[in-house]
Amino acid sequence: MTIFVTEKTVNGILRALYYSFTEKIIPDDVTDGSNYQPELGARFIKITADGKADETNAARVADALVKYGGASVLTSIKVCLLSCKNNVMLLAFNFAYKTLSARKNVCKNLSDPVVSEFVFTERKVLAERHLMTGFLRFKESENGVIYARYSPDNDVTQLLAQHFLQRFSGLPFIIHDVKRGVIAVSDGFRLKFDRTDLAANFRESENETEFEKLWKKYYKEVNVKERKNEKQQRGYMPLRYRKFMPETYED
Amino acid sequence: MLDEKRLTILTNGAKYDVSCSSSGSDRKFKSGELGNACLSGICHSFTPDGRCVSLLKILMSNDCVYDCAYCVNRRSLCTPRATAFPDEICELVMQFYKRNYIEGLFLSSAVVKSPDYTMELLFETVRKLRVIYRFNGYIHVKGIPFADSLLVERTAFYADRMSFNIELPSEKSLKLLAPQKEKNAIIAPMKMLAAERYGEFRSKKNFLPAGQTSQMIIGASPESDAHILRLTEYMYKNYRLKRIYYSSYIPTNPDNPYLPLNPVPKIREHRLYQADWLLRFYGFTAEEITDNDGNLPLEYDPKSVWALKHADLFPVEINSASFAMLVRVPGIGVRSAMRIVAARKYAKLGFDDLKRMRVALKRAKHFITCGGKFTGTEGESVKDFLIEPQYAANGQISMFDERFSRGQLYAGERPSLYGYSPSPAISALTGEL
Repeated sequence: MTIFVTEKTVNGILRALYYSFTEKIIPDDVTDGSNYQPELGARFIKITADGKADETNAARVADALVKYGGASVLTSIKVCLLSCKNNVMLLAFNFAYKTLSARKNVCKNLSDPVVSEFVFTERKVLAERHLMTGFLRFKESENGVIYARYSPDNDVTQLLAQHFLQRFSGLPFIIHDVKRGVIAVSDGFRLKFDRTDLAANFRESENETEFEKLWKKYYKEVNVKERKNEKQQRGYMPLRYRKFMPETYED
Repeated sequence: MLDEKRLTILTNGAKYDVSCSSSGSDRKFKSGELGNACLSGICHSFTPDGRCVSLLKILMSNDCVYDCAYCVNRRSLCTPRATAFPDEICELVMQFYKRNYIEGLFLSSAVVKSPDYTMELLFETVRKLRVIYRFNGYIHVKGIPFADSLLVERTAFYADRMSFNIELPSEKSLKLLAPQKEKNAIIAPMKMLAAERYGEFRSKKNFLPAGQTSQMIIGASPESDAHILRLTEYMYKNYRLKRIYYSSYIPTNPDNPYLPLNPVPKIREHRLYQADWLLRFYGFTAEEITDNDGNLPLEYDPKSVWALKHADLFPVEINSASFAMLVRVPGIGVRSAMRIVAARKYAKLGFDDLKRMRVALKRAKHFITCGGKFTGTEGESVKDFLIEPQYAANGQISMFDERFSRGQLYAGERPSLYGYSPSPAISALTGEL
């Protein structure tokens, strides 16, 4: 059993691909080494940027991938790697390997197990990002910065922050993934990502409670009581997301 | 700032309007302005009735001069009245939007004083929101029938979507239940806006990016589903509407002798929506999915009904059937059909492949073959697999069982006031709205 150890980034996957093609080794697994329980007798190959599979060669692999798989293939791999699934690195590697060896765009070939798993994993991440663009709740602080906490299944903070950077142009915001300790900070025009384990020192603005109260009132009143359908509500808005949504709190 | 009391009144007046979608507009962000719009629309919350909250759905005022029998804001009803100022609405939108509670504003109003006065209020609010508050998110404005056409057009200039409600599916019902409204006052502005958006003199590229929609109440008047769908089809074809919403009547006026006492079963509304989707995305025509003047069967979805009637066309071979035929297979939607058409270029597809591609086979397997193989059921017993579970529990029911005729299902309904006579699609609008 051969296991590639590389970074959990697009570049890490590209380097692994370069190594695999030049050394003619197909790995049984690809990992970044964290939380990994190796089998007995497994052979680890550590692929680092200072070896043969350096940045220049990774860029060559990237060019080939784009040539055969289309312009969006690198983004797809990037998105797929954000998934909470534990075999995403192998999945991304196998998909890219398939594209390179078939020398054509295979992402529509959904009857292939590797392709379908890759495509549906990517879609799941994007679906959660889409849900979060709606479910994220900001609070306004004293100094006008808005701050949101949430805990998504997949690591979608990067994707989400891009959305809000456009939406809240000129308005500084912070998005805090409390599960992973990742934060996205924007000054209104640029984004910065960071890690933190600290709860933010947050003081609400004067009107914050007032508007939250109005929102809760609105949510309560816009419901049509005669047409109760909580099953459908749960389907669209799973309970695990409601922790950070004030309108769903019982008074 | 809008206080809680008025917010309650104005929300309650607006909540029976079904439309809450924020899709269809891809308004790009502008540097330094708040907001943009997302083509797919974004739902921000879901209420316990299962509906999404996407827009701040609110009335400018519920102080109506009209007296439409089905409406919760009718003049003759003794209910608290409130009116908001344009600035109050604008402030609420900005503050809610900033906290990501909402995707934009859905502004409607009861008719205060006169249609022109009301339309002007709506215009003033959206103009302020865009120009003074510099809000760049989604705005849906309701049009007021009889309002001056220039006012309507200028309001549309600031909105992403505009809608005039058809209210009831025929002119007769409109006269009976909403005597102050007229067919022409609803249709004319729709026509004007459609011409402005799609017509040859179209000058503004971004005029009403999300188009127009409309809404009608079903079950308050005796029109059949066939009639409703023909009208729908006509509206889609001729006014290029993006969507028509159906809202099943909820009894709010027990004193009116013309209105039914019981609510319309939700499943009827559901079937109408299914049929509506078939019209817009699946290439069906209203004639195909309805009988002359009948209702849609409640126990099967309209596509299954069509497929059962056309058993001679099935099963279809997944590896060779055209896209148009694939989307007609019960259980296969537009997305699945697209996946199939794309994937079969790489390799011949079998049932396992379809499963991997997440094509739902529960219903589809009775209508398809994969490489000549058929794993479904043939003959009459197919119906058992297609029936809506709530009806299956009562034992076998034939597809067009008398038990499901309106008489019994809508028990408690008063006898219809006038007979219904079928008319072709064109006269649906010219003769009867």
